[in-house]
Amino acid sequence: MTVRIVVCLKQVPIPGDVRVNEAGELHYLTGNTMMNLFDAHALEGGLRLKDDVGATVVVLGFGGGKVVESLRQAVAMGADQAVHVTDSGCESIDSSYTALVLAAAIQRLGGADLVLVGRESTVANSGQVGPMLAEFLEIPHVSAVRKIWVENERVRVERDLEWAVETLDAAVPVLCTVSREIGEPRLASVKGVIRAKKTVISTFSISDLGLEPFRAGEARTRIIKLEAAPPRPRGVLLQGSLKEQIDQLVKLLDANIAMKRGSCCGR
Amino acid sequence: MVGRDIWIWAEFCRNEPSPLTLELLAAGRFLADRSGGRVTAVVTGEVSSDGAATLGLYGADHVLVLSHPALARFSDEDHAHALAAAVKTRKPAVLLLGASIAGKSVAPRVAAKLGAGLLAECTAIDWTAETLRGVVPLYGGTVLATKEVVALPALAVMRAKSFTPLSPDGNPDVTVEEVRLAPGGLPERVKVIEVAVEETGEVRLEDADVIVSGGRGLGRSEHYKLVRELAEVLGAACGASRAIVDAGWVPYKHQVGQTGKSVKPKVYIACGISGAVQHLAGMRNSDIIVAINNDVEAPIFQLATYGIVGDVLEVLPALTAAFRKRASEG
Ligand SMILES: Cc1cc2nc3c(=O)[nH]c(=O)nc-3n(C[C@H](O)[C@H](O)[C@H](O)COP(=O)(O)OP(=O)(O)OC[C@H]3O[C@@H](n4cnc5c(N)ncnc54)[C@H](O)[C@@H]3O)c2cc1C
Repeated sequence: MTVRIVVCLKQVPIPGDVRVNEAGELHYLTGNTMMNLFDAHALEGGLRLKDDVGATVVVLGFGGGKVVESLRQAVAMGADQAVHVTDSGCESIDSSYTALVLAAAIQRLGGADLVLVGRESTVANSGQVGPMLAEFLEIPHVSAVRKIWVENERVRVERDLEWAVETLDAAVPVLCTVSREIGEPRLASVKGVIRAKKTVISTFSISDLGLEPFRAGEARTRIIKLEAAPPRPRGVLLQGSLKEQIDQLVKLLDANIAMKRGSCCGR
Repeated sequence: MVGRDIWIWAEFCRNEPSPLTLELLAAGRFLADRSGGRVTAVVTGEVSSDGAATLGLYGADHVLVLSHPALARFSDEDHAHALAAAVKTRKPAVLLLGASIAGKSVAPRVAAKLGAGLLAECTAIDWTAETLRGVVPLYGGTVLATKEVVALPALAVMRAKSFTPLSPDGNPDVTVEEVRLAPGGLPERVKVIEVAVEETGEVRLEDADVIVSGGRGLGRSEHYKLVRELAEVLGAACGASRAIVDAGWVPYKHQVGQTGKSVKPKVYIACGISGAVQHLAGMRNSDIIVAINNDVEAPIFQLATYGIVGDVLEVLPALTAAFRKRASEG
């Protein structure tokens, strides 16, 4: 069996690029975007399995035209096939809808043994899409995976919980949300870049997938307002000799630091 | 019809509710007082009588235990399945989960099963106009979205340190209701075959009141021990910038920031960290920020409460010595 892997990629603004004005509207300083960092790790996880056990890696991106940049980059890194689901201009911020669209696209592509997504995006850090996608595909999922092995149609993963490392085992198909420790994303090879230029990226529209376009009115949550995070008041630079500064700091922090407390809950 | 009860999903570590669970109980109490419902702490798995009593002391009116052999360990799908089924039959108004790895994994799956609205990564919540509202930071915390759930039941995932646990003078004899789930009643498609508990003796970043964090300004991997020494004296957790995680000086679990952990200690001491937006994203909500950096222009000074301009290799040992002296005197 060749393992069939679908990796979902999201295009996100570069960090620090998004601002909100007083009217609560979003503004982009440069408008530049990048592949979501954890998604790049998910892709790396898929490519390592390809190296080890001979998988087929399909990358799937949903969104405006910019996601095509990430899809090409993924092909240049070694993905076999790229699929773009266009969102007809209304870039969705509804995780549940995104998961529904990705599920429909994966089904349309004939399913997958392993679906890999980044554990969260740098937009909201919520990590909702992976577990929701698994639910819509009716397959199990494991979050925050840092190691994956595939053998005899079974998947074994290692993941971090806050106070333990778990090893889990499942039959395919399964979805994993992938953490950084899976390994650093590889650089594209020259051969890969040439191949990526030539690769035809297949495109699905929402209606190709038999879905209705996202309507904000039907979302289960709505945004009441957007505002800039309150700025922190600018503090003070301590003055004097190093010893004087240290003495001041120790005094200033004294009330806030309970020295020599025990650590909590067996950690 | 959906009731007015507020549920919280309780997580345990060694028979003790996690610190985040105690915070959720406070959040649940706050919402229930406004909605006019009860606070139910839901345990998927097992709970000792001590554990259940603790939940009562910190604000639960009722403890619901969903038990099944497959829930003894954390498997994402099974726990989501059990929780969703209970929400469906008992119809609480709100289900709160903590932004732990497990909570962030279970919540979306439950929401998708129920077709319910989910407010993820909330730093504040309120019961307004008969529904749930929450504040959700976006884009590394630079943008705050206030969101509302359109229909009940509503789910919310709460970031650590968004609520302070109540003082433990609640109900010590809280009622515990156990529901044994039928054999075969869970998917059981993923099996946990090993759990290796990490006995590092370290204070966890998420729980810490004080964090000492190091960056590339430490110069060399060996110098990270200066961070550890100060942390040791202060009973603090050790943090790091992405730069030194990438350089392999410390493991990823210490990384603070947009692609690391989001923390909210009382005191955050940034040593040789420039203060890139992605780092600030993870610690800008600390009560007090102390920055030690030899470059007066470093962006970290723009939000530091107290700054020391100096060489971290000199300042850190001096600070450790001063606090050590203080500790021995006090
Ligand atoms: C998508 C994305 C996500 C990211 N996520 C994160 C994240 O989660 N967390 C994170 O931290 N970063 C993250 N980064 C990286 C971030 O942009 C910065 O590169 C990183 O935070 C810099 O780390 P640093 O401050 O330790 O190093 P530097 O930027 O190199 O700063 C070192 C600082 O030390 C000072 N210094 C040097 N020598 C001394 C000395 N002897 N004494 C005192 N001070 C000294 C310097 O003046 C400088 O200010 C991310 C980047 C991207 C693109």
